[in-house]
Amino acid sequence: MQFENQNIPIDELPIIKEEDFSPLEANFKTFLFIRNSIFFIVLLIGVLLFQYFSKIPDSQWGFTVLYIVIIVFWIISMAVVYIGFKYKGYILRKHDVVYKSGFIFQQKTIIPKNRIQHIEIRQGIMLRMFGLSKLVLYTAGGSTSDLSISGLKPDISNAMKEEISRKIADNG
Amino acid sequence: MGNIDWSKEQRQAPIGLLLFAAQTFRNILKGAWPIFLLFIIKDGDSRNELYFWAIILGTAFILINGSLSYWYFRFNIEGDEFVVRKGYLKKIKLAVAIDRIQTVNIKQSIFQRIIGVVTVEIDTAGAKEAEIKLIAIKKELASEFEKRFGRTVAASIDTNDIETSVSNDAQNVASQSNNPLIELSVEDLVKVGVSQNHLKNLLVVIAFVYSFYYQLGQTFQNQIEEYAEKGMQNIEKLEITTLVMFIIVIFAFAFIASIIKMVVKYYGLTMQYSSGNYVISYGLINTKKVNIPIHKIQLIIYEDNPIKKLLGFKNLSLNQASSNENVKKDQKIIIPACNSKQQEIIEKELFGSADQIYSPPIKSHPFYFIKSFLFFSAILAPLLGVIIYNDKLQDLRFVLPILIIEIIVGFLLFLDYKKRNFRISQCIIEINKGQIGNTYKRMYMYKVQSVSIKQSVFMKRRNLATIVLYTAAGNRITIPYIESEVAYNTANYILFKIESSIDAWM
Repeated sequence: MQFENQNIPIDELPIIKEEDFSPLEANFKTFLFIRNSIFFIVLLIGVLLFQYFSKIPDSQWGFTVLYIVIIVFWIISMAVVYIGFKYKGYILRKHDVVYKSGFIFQQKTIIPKNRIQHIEIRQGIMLRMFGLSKLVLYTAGGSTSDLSISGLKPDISNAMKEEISRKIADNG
Repeated sequence: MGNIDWSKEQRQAPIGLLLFAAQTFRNILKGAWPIFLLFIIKDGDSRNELYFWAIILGTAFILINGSLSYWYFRFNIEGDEFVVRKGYLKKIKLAVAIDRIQTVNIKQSIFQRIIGVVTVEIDTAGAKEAEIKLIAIKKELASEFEKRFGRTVAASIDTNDIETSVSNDAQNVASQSNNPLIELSVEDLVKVGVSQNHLKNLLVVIAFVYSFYYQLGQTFQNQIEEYAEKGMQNIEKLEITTLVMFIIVIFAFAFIASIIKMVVKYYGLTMQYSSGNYVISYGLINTKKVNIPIHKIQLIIYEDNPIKKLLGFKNLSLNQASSNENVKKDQKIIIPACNSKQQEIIEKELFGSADQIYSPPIKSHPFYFIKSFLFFSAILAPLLGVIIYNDKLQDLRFVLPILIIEIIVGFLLFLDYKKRNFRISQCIIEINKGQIGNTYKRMYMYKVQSVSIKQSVFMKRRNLATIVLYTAAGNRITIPYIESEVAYNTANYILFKIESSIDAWM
């Protein structure tokens, strides 16, 4: 613990600046729009089929309300994607990775590179169609502290993985 | 197979294709069992044909998916990392730095034994399940795995379904007869039992009775309804004294039960220091012996309440980092009684010299209290609304309890806000909280695994933020509603501590 005696003035510590955040790929927004819409469309079709096959009399009114609720939630989800997108961003710093998200409940998560246990790069079918990928950083702090950054170009997430791996190796 | 070219991508044993197919089958069963049920239940002429096609399609899918999963599952070593690539639709590339690997476990099921392969599990710290599971590895290759990655050795593969793993921080400890640091007599344990949170136990008992009643209700629906109707009439007739008596009886029951529980569970507890480890053993019926390497302790928590304070002890819990499954059960070890002298010795052992210079305590903003109180009231409000709306229930007997609950909870939340603070020294963070009792947590800042700063728009307007620290012992430390600037400075300082640290955190 050599550094114990060093006196580090708080205001000389590196700070997280808003302007340093890199945004996610622009087509990730489209991806989110489509992914969420698929969910709601499937839901609507499900309800439609249910209405068609069920023999509940006089339930027209109830179904109408259900449709309206689903559509309202669909619109909300679109709005959340639209507004929330510009609040998502990441910074790859020398010693850690910073990710921010959320616009009503904003959250910044910082994972030091020397605390990363392993790294995953995921590419689901849809993400691959958009030429995107998802980088997941696992720590020992339990599943809630794991960080996943979706909507990165595969070469960027690969480069980030390499960079982080190098840092992990350095630290031993 | 002495020399394997680890740098080249490898697949598992071809026979393992069977296992991948079996896995697919299992997954289908897990996901689609209602459909199978439907098949069995459904009666009709089309049944046989339906079966035929279902079996054909199902088998084809299982074989194709199994083969593809097998084919796309590859592993190799790239630089300092063990890399696994898997999936054909959803592609996953998973990389583990070799020096992060904690344990390599080897397991074998009966089926695996028949086809002559084993499962190799590669585990790092953190996650509950093994990060990497290779389900079809030839035995020879498995031993290569051990040689290459194993800081640990798996035991022989003999019996059915063996699950053996001997970790490097093995549980066997030379039983040195040091003077125990803490030793609890039956008398101490009775005291501990007396000082338990009986209100909590009472709630547990009530919940138990309620769920029992509920389950009875499920079985004897009709009878219960009949009884309930009678019961309702009785409740209406019920006098306050009977109710009070009833509560006293339950309370007494909970009180005695918790004393007995304490004595049985912690009978003959000793905690001693033995070459870098704490060895703790206790138990009347099941004797338990736990070995905690001191460097693995992430966080210590002391708890007291007015009764404990009076009797002069605290509840101590040692929270350790874990990877291996055996340790996971013992992640949190509670020593029910620890006096201030013992506390001092333990503190010294864990954190070195006690004369740390701390920052002044930093408190949460009053808005934290307002928020939690409003939040709670918002839950209670609909209940009150129903009562006011319903004429039959407009009675002091129903309104009063709600008001009392509101006041009690409001008071507890206020205490919670009052007692909440944290302070940091050069390398230690200390968190204080509590309502009626006090809870006090301490940990080395460099042992924190990741840091989050949370801020809602409302908090942003008031320039407040919440810090969340994640530890390797699974605990989450929340420091709510402190000034933004303080929050960022603290987070930055903790990050500096983590990132500049070269000490092993476990």
